[in-house]
Amino acid sequence: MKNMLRSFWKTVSYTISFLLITVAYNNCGNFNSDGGQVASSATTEALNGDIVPLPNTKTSSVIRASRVLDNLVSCLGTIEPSTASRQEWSRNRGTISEEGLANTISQPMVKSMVGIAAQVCNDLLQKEIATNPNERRIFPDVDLDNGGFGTNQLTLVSRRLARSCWGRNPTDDEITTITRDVAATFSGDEDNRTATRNKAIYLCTSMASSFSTYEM
Amino acid sequence: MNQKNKNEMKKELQEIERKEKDKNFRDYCLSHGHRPVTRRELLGAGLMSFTASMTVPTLAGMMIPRYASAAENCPSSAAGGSAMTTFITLNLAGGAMLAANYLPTDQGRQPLPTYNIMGLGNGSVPVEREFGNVPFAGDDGTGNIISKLLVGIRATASQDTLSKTAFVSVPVRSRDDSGANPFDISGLVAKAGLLGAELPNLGRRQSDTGMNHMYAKVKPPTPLIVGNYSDIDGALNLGATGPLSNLSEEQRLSVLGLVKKLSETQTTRVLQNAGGRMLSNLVECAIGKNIEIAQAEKPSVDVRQDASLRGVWGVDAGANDNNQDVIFGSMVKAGLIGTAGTVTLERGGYDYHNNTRTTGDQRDQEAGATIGRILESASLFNKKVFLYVTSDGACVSPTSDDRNAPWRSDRGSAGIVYMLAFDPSGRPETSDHMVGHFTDGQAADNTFVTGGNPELAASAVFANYLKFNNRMDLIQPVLGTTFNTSQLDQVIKFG
Repeated sequence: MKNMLRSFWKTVSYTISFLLITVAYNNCGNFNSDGGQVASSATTEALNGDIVPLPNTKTSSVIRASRVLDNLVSCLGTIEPSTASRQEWSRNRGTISEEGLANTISQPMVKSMVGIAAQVCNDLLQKEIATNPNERRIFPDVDLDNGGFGTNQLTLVSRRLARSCWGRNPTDDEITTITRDVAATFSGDEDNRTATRNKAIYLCTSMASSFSTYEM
Repeated sequence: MNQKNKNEMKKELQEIERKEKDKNFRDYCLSHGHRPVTRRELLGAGLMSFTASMTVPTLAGMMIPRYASAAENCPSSAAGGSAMTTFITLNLAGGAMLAANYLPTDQGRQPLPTYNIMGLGNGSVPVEREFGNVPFAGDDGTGNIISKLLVGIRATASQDTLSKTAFVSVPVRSRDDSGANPFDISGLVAKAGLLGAELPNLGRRQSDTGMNHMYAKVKPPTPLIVGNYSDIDGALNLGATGPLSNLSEEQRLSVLGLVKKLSETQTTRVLQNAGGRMLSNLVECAIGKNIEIAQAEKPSVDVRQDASLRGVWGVDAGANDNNQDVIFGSMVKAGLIGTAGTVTLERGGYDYHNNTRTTGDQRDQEAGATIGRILESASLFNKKVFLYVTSDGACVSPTSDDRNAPWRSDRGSAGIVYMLAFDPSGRPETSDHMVGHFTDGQAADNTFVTGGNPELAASAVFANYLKFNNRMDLIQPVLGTTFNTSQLDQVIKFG
């Protein structure tokens, strides 16, 4: 009888532990930015690595190689890519998925996206330098000639870049990440023209080559 | 201690361990504000061993999200040394007459009755042996070796290197002047495990395969297209040129760090999509790999910076970035030292039927020289290499007894591909020098399993590559049921 009781309470305690763990786990943090739980997509990926489309579900994809340069030129508003940007894209397009299939993302592809973004960001920077500060599209608040790219300007520029290239406002977490990283990366630099322009390239390249820019 | 006590003790230990892990999990959530997701976070929370020791799969499945182990699912690389042999493809674009260099024979391994539309005259073609006992078109009676490909090989590879090299051909009919022949096997080779520490696949042409062939069976990793040396340099060193070169090395690395942080957050938005988990995983892996590469001390792959290799490839230290031998030598070095996975070289100008033999001979000799340099490079690094030589179609000569008859037109039915394998410890063992055979009609026998189908011929080459690597266990998982056991016995000549 005593053994039966012990066994009963043991079973009950296991069950309660299990339920507590499950509940605690599911309440522990954000599963995704929408607050919803993440569905398993195990059934969407065939064993050979191909992606199997599901009814009523968006199929993940990224921008195709032929559109990468146009997309960056469009979102950064440089109108025409420079020769250097064209060359960078042309040199690297072979590493970028032709069809934009999610399963073709590779290390060289991501690196190419960074390299191409850097060139188009440089086009943007040169264009903005040559433009009256009040008429600049992305860096109106930044003194690109004498230096001056503080946290406030950084936040404003980040928002403009995000709205333009990500098609949405950045989240607070993203803004925090950006400002923290920029501050840490340029902490030893003087607030002069060179450092400001470098910050502009750094910020623009990072945002323009992050996933949201090339997600389709 | 009896079995009952052992079991009870085991259960008690498991219970203690589980309670400890539960506490770690709660502590992690409280201190970080989110559940542990990545492998690093799981390890940090002390949960990795927990996942391994759980005995209730459904419970484990509920505890650990499917994408939690993303970092563990990155494609493996050769970092630390891939066990698979360096694999290099040399494509001779346009339809090289490879069957007039290596001398194909009939099913009984006897010379064909005549080679008079293969530019070699009657059936008594003089034979020059190399790679053991492999027949090549030999001395035409004037001291002139007919096979200029062999001449090129001997000009650039030492006799010692050739004595450690095996050669096997695969007669196969292929389309002339066409990019539609599925000869590329870099996808299969990558799937078998050769991915390179930094660059999975190098190629020369803007295509899925990096050359003018389609892939057989498995799409290869997207190749880095190497137009000149700076493409490799740029791929290995982010910001070596361009706007990022104004940033310090630390700042360039920080760009990747910020891209990684932003992208990791952003990819959580697509996890519910079809393929979203895979995409998220690949993005994380790809950026992480770039950071690894940026941080790593890298040996140079520049052939110009290696005095010994400069000699092999015939280039000097000041040669241009777009010098073909600088590009080829550097690509080959990248493969040999494991920086790159599969390496695909391509030479153009092999649609050489211009009613002379001169152009064809010159091109063949150049191809031979490249083959010799690849083998010699492997010898220099004391590394094994498996070289696959392909083309699209072949040539025909006028019906003639001339042993150096001109090339008049295309004739893909006389197509052939080569496999060469170098082992610094000695010539790899082979049972034959040909997979399949030619017919009396001076064409690849398309009744043989590989004779009429480039994809099957390519698969046979891959099977031989696996055999050379002593990895026949990978046949089924990588190649599937392409060949039955009997056919495998017919097509595998290595080992």
